[in-house]
Amino acid sequence: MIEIHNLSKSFKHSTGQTEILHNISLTIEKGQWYTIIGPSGTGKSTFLNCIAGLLKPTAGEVLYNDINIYQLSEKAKSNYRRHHIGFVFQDFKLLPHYSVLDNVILPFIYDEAKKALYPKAMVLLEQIGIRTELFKRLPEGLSGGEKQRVAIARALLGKPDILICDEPTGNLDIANRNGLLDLLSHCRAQGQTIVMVTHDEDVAKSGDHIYKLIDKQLVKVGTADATFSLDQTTS
Amino acid sequence: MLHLVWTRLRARKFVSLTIILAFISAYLLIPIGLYYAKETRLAVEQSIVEHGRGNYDLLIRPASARSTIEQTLGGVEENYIGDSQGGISIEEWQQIKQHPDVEVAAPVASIGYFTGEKFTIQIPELDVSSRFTFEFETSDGLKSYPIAPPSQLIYFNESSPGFIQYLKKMTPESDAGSFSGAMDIFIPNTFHLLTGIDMKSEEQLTNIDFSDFNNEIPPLVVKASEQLFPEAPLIKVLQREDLRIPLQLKVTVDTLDINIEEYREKLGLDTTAWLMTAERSIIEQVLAEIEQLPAQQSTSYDIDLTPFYKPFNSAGLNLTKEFELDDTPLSVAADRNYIAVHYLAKKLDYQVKDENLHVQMVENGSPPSYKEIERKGKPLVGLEQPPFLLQQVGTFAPNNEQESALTSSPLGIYGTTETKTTTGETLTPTTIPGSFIAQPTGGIISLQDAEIIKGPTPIDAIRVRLAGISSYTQEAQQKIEALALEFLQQGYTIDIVAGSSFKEVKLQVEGIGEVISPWTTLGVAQQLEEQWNSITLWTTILFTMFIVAWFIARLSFEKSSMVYEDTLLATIGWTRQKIFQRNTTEQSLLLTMAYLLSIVIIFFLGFTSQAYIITTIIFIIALSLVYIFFSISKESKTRTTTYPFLQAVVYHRQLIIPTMLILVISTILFVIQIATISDAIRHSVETTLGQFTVNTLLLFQIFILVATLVLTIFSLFECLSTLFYARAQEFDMYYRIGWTKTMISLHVVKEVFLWTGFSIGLGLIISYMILFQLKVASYWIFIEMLCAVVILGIVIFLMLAVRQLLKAKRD
Ligand SMILES: Nc1ncnc2c1ncn2[C@@H]1O[C@H](COP(=O)(O)OP(=O)(O)O)[C@@H](O)[C@H]1O
Ligand SMILES: [Mg+2]
Repeated sequence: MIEIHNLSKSFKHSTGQTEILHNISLTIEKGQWYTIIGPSGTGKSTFLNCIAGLLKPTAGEVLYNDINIYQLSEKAKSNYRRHHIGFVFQDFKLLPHYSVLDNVILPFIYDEAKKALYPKAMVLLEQIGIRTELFKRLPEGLSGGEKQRVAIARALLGKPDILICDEPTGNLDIANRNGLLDLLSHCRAQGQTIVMVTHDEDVAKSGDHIYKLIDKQLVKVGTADATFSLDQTTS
Repeated sequence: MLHLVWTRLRARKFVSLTIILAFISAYLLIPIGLYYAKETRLAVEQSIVEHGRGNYDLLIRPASARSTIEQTLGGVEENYIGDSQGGISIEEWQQIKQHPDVEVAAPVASIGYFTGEKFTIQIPELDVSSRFTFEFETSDGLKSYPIAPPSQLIYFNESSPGFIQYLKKMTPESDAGSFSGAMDIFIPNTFHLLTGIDMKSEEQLTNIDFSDFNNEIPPLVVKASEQLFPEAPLIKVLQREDLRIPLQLKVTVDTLDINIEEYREKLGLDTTAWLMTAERSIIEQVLAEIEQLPAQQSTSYDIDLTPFYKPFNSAGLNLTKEFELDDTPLSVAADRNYIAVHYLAKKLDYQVKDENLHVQMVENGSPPSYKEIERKGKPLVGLEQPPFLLQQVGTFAPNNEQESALTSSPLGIYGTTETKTTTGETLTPTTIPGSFIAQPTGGIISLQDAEIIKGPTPIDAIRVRLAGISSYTQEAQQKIEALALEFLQQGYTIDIVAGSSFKEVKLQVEGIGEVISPWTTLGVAQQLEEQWNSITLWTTILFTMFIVAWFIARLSFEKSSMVYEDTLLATIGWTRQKIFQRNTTEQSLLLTMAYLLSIVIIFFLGFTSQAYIITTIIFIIALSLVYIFFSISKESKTRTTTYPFLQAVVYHRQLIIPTMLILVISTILFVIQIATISDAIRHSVETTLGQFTVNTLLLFQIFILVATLVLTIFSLFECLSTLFYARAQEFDMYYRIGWTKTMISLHVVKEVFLWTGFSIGLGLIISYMILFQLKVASYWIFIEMLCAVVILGIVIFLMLAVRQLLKAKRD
């Protein structure tokens, strides 16, 4: 579904260029869960941004259904993100002044009438396990786990082909973290494609395909079925 | 600590820079604004002090002399002496003159329009027999009007020196001169204003030289008149030297093939007889016959009599063979029959019709008459004794530059102002008493002589100049008012002429069209001063208010934009003391940087030391405000329920409300400033003194407007960029969740327009209410509001551009 060919990314700065990603190729298959692990600052977010059409790679290409997304217009890229990609952030990025429900429908308020969006959002929120009485609350009144669930509901509302999660458990305690991973598994079971990055080894155990971002490269370290240890792969 | 603050400032380069620029403008603009506010007042005061006083201060007229039109327009007619009814006696004038506060009291007694002595123009003896046709015309500046029917004279070239053969029609008024052997014609009746004054006072008031009045009447004349008219007093007249009342003579010369013998026969005369000795009726028959004869050759000459128009001077004129005029005729005939006849002209009858002033003709004659005329005296018949005799003894000429164009103190009798049509033609007086433009006085006589002609209360008006006043200050004005009150209580009509100026009044004049007439408008100086004072006051108040609001607003959104960081710092264990220190240090740093830069700029601009002091005071006040503001802490509690409407705006109210406040105040400032200034200018330019003050002040006013605009733009710039900075994450998120740039812009524009629109609307409503109180013309209010909306609209779009810029930098 998404093919990444020889992707490289460098950042320019005053003293020159630093390459973060080098010649990465990866095929993301429909209905699979990809997990990428790596310590902070290795370029995980950068990689996700490249897939999502937010950051143009220095070299290589990202093909979505054989279309090079960086050859699309700015507007088409936005549409691609809105309709085909769901983004989940470490810090949830919920708007503090909107209610839970309004936050969920936010991506589509300029595409569809709110009236049509609300029932869809409510069904989704219930499936994800948010109690009805929280719907009208401001995000401020939610727990971290609840916030991240709301964020996932927002990402899923447009029935995206791919759910991109950037350290979704980073701000959660263990209980909430496990709950969230269960939720993602559940989505995966429903046929949702997921790409998740994390620096948390425990979290990295989830997923169909697990890669490690090391030395600007993605190294496959195994699948969820295979037992593995990070130490082994790094050695 | 300082390092930490410095890093944060640098991280928010754009916001920090805007804050510094805004502060620099505040530091600079307040002292400049205050300086100009003071300057404005001084300039107005100065121009009024210098130019506010004219030739005299008070105009005293008899009770009920003020016309309805004067009351309506709040002015004095140029021709205020008007209908020459008099009303003040010489004793009363002397009393006024002797008042210790009176420096000069110059009376005017309009006597009326006199024909004076009529005189002749000598016609040249040509080489061929000719038929002369004479047409006299006057002009009102637009059109020419014949003032008598054309007359003819037939010249026969068989004349011999001293024995000129000619034929002309005898009219009753030309009887007197017809028997001289000279060939001449009388100038038709023209009328000339005669005025009685006190030469000494008038000279003091106007600097006009009246010394000719000391000339004696030639003894020969005295003797002759004593013999002829022992009863009639001889009245000395000074004639105006430069009188310019249009008078044209058109002469048509047709050469004829005629034989004198043939006409002698027809006239029934013998071969040596002088043609004019024939019987009148036969002469007329013959003349009618000759009129029909074809001309062999015909030439016309236009001769301008205007410069020779000397009504009280009985020297005749001579037309040379080249048809040029001079005043050395060989013989002169004079006609004294009408010497005692004079006409009083009423004032113009102004009528207010559909908001316009109209003047109608009284008689559609040639030229038309606009005033009602009353005839006084009667022509002398035979050897009847005249009631008085006028004798010209010299001339006077008013100095044209003596009346300033800024102030008006109409002297009433010299005709110094110009009345024009809307198409720019200057109107002139005609030769008749009912002329639309009043004639300047053609001759003056003494007050005592005025009494002889006019009776015991000859004086129409007294122009009074106060003693001990050198310029038109507040103090002088009070003194003038006090004296005015005193005379008012004595029953006179008083106008305070000091501080008055010319105002153009539009008139619809029948037969002429639309006319612009300079009217003396009273109390202009006081009004101007009041007006500019109140504007300066408003400007200062609004400006100060704006600055205070601006500063408080920017502190409060600075504070709320820091809330997030403050909580973060608190979590990582900073004491409140330290956090306070961080925040105040940052603000102080910004203030100080802006202050130092301002001082440098002030130095280079070479301001007065006052500017340094004011800037330093502002700096100190701002610093203390920072410390006070950040030491007030408010516990914020988390809200969990949604807001019912405008979620984003309500949520960010801490940032938005100060911005809205600034918008409201700047809108008010704008609208009031522009509207009141334009209104004041509109009022001021109506008068020449006002125009002068506006010219002096325009630059200051423009500066203040620009200053306001600059500050408003800076503060809006700052407000919005802070707001966008605080919400950068939000906008970034929109982008990440797949909103197109158009969607994001639309979303932001909608929101920004909602609260900016509300603020501007509120500002407009408030300013409308203030303007309503100030009684500023409503159409100005409308126009200015439109301007304000447009200007602020531009500013808002500018802001959105800033946002795009900020974003582009981040990407
Ligand atoms: N816009 C950018 N400009 C310059 N350097 C960047 C930018 N974004 C990320 N980086 C750098 O790239 C590296 C990888 O960042 P990131 O992808 O955020 O890492 P991770 O998500 O793995 O923690 C970091 O060293 C970061 O400083
Ligand atoms: Mg990251």
